[in-house]
Amino acid sequence: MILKHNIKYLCMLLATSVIFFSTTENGFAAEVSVTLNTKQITISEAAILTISVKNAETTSRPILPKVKGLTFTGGGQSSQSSLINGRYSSSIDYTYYIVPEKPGNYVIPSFEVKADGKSFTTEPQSFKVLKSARTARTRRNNNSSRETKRQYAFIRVTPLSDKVYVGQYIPIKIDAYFNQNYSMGLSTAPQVINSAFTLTKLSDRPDQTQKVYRGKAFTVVTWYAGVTPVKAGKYDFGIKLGATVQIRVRSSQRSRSRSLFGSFFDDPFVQTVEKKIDVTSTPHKVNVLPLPRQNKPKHFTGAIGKFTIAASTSTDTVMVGDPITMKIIISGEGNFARINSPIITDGTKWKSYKPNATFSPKDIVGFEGKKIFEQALIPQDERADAIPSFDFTYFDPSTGKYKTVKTQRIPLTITHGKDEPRRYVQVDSIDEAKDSKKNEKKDITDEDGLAPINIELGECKQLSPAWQQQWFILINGASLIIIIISFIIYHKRTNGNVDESKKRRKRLSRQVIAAVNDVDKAMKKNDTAAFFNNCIRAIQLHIADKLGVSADTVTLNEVTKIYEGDADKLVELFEMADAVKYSGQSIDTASMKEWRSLLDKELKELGGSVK
Amino acid sequence: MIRYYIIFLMFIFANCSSVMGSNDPKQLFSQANKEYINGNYKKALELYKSTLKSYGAPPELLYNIGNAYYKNGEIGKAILFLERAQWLEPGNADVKKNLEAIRKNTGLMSIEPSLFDNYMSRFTLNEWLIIITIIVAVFAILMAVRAISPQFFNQRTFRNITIFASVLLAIAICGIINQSLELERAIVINDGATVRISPFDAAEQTATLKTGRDVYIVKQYGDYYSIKDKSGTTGWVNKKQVAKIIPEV
Repeated sequence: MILKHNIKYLCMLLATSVIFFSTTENGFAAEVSVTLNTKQITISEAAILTISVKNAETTSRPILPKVKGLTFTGGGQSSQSSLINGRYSSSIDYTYYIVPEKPGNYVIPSFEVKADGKSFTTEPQSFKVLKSARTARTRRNNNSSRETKRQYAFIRVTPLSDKVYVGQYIPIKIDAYFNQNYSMGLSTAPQVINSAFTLTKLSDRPDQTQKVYRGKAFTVVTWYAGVTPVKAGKYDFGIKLGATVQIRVRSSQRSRSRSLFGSFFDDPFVQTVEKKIDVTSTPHKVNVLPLPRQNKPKHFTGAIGKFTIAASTSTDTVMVGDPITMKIIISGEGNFARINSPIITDGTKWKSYKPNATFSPKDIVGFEGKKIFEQALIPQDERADAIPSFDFTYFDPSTGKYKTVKTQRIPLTITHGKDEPRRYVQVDSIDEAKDSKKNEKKDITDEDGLAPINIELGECKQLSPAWQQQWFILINGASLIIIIISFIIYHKRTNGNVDESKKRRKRLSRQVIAAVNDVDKAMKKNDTAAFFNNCIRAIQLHIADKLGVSADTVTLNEVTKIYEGDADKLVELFEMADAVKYSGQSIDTASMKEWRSLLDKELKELGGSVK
Repeated sequence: MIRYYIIFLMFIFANCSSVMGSNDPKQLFSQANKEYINGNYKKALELYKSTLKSYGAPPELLYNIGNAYYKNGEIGKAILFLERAQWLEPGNADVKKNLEAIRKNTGLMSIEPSLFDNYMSRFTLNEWLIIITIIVAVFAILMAVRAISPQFFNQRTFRNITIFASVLLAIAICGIINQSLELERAIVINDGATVRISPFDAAEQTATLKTGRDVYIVKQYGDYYSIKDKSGTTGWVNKKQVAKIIPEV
């Protein structure tokens, strides 16, 4: 029973499977379709081409035809499958970005796509590439492709003169302007557009600045280089470089609006694709002339430019057999690489060594500068009484003529060193050397003119500068500490005296004020004795303050001595005070007020004011 | 048995004494001098270097090494060691004489210093530092005297002393600044040292420097020194081709 029931379900399952697989295989045949996401883009945008292969079990990535003015890049592949109402379907989409190089109408011709072993031919796709909106507005009739590149980037090069010579070295400045509205990068270094020129000494690290040109912000990358024409003829001269620019992929959904501010690169949802562009400067016709054969000097080595020459020697007096150094300096502008050293070839008078050349450029590309040749020379006999004049020939492109410049003949005083006996002492033993060194230290030299070696080993010394040595740090540290401490002590001591005197004066001043207050109190109480006592006390304190003496020492005698008869009122006050003290007489308030005002007046005259 | 033992002891003793003897710097130095006098400059150099390693760098040894290098045909190293000897003993007439002789014999150009440089180079860096030390120490003593007894100097005298010390100090500082360039002075020790435009082996060659030439080290990058010399040559030179007179610690 169970077996019978199971067989029933098994049969149903088999039947369903057969129906399902028979429908999937036979129900859908392979299909190929091609779609463009838009029929119109601007030059600064990219379109998407999608090739859909449906219901194919086997397919391969289609090969797109070449279309002039269009570049197909990257893209991707996606696949999907679905089972709806028991019907199975699948599709594979191949996508390509179409990057236009210039505006125009384009047709992507039909091409073959292989699926399930069959070839499918696609429908031709046409679309239009417009200039950018801004460029279109300007309505220029220039070459549209260059104009398009110009909106991304352009190059400006120092123009060459219309007439240059083969081998001439010309410094140039290359400014590459990159529009800051686009995300751009450099893919190749600057190159000359024509093989008739070579570019040398291109600066490794170009300068980068920001500039505004015709209302647009540009990043300007500047190189300095040298250009040398290598063959004669009329050629276009220009500079090109490779760059990449990120361009927007035109979305088929126009609903997404661009940000009002900033470029579309600010929008994280915008899809971009890299476009390679060649940026080229405006070509400039240059006539490259060969160097004239007529009047070409024999010793011309290819130096082209403007140069001067000078020669000097390390000394003007030399012994026969002793070396001197001759220095020849060629300075100016031009192709220094082609300048060779003028050398002395007269082997009978001179023994000469290979010259040593150094070049010191004044600019980045080595157009202007000076080349110094140093040559060691040894006079062989007394006939070598002068350094001869040297010729140097170059071609001057500004005049189109060869020029020869000369050094001055340098006369030398030759001494007969070889005839004089050498002050050379051959030592055979250490002891002998030691003795001879002690006795004739200044006179001993060997055949090379060297003083003899040291026989005794001295004390070790440090090669490092003194500031790294302990004694220096200790002595200077101690000295500085002594200076600081001495300064502090000195100032404390001298300032202490000043402070003491100030304190004393303040104390006396306070006492004067107190005495005057007591005068006022006594006046209020009508206490004549206290009134005059305090008057005298105030004056004593005030004078003591002025003279720097004790107040008790200030008496009537002192006052008369000090003021030498100009102190009548003060004397009167002192006498009145004595009279009151010894007679016990009293005075009325009005008299007290008079004496009080007299006290004020006297204190003021003495040089102080009492509040 | 005892006889063998005595022979063994004698053998050990002899070896020990020979080993000890060879390590004695003065003995090594003396041996090196003998080799030098006999014209065995390579052997002399080896012994001098061993002395340098075990004893240190007295100016006498550096001077002898310089001479031995010259005799061995290594001009750059000869000048380097003589310059080091001169740094330690600026007044040594033999060192000065030999440096001049070597430069003369090899046609090395010496550029005439400016008047200011000439004046400042009358003292070496260390001598200027000693001058400063003396000025500061004397001034410290005078300050101490004034602190102990303020009446010892009147204000005007002390002000004049201070002005005088400040002027001396300023001159010494100028001297130090001028002579501190010497710390960056180096000697080309390989013949035909290549000067390149950037610090890489593949960089373009701009000049070659003769062995024994003076250069100043401006900066360093990797295995290269950026150098300049008094004739205006600048560029990058491999560190193996030049050596600083005052080696970096």
